[in-house]
Amino acid sequence: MMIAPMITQLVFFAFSAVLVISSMMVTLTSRSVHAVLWLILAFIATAGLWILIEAEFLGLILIIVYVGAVMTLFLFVVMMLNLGEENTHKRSYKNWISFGAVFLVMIVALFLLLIAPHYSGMASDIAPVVTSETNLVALGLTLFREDALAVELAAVILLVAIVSAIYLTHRKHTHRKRQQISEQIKVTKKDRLQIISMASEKLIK
Amino acid sequence: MAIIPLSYYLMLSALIFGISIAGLVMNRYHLIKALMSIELMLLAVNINFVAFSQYFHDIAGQIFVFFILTVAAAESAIGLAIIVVVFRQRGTIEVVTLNELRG
Repeated sequence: MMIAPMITQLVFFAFSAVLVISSMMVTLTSRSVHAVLWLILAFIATAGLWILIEAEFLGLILIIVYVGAVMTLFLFVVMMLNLGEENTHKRSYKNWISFGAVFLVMIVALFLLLIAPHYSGMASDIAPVVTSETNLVALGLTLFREDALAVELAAVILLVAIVSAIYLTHRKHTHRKRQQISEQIKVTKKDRLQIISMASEKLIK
Repeated sequence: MAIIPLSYYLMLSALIFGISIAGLVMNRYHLIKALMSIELMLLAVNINFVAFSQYFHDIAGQIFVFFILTVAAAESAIGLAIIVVVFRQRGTIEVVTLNELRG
């Protein structure tokens, strides 16, 4: 019974170390593809952290939706645009790294002061969930009973995102030969058929 | 069994948020990396939401994470579409070249 809390904390520290290192690498690598891959690692570590405090459905959703869809989209765009090295080296982050470090220290110090354990009494543990229903059941019941309208609004947001993304990136093929069905239907006999009356030729003897 | 103090999760989330803000400042000439920093910021917020939700045994926090994920996915899809359009029109996505609205 004594060894289990220590292992949990070890797992927590391992996942958070992976998360911190990979999110630093996202900002520090010079290649976009590497940054996307580090971001994927950060999402996977976060999913582990969420599963550790029994929010397993959201952890799996993070892997499926984020790593499976959004990060694939990022990777796809980065590879499709094929940004060379000259694009990133001209205005590199290295000119701003001291500025960024100062910014990082200031923000983190501010937050850590705000949430320091001896200020607000948040040092108590996250207690395990005691209800008999699983995380998925609880989430689903709340989501589709009380927040049904919000679910439909989220669906509308996704639909708008689909429509706008397709509209923005869709190109009409002007060079390709296609059937124009409406033009074909509108054709009458007068447009196509022409009867010419002309004198008949004489036979050559 | 979660034997982890809530403040650990909050500190981790603060650290990730600070890193992503610093990354946004450092990489503001690089549109895709700026978008990735914004995703990381949303992730830090989501860690806070999930930790508080499990701490107070209130499922509403996880519902919020659900909708934040939805909105973030929509945002990144549209943002990437805009980046693709900019790249098609100009051949580059350097932020410095996007100065037509300067007047």
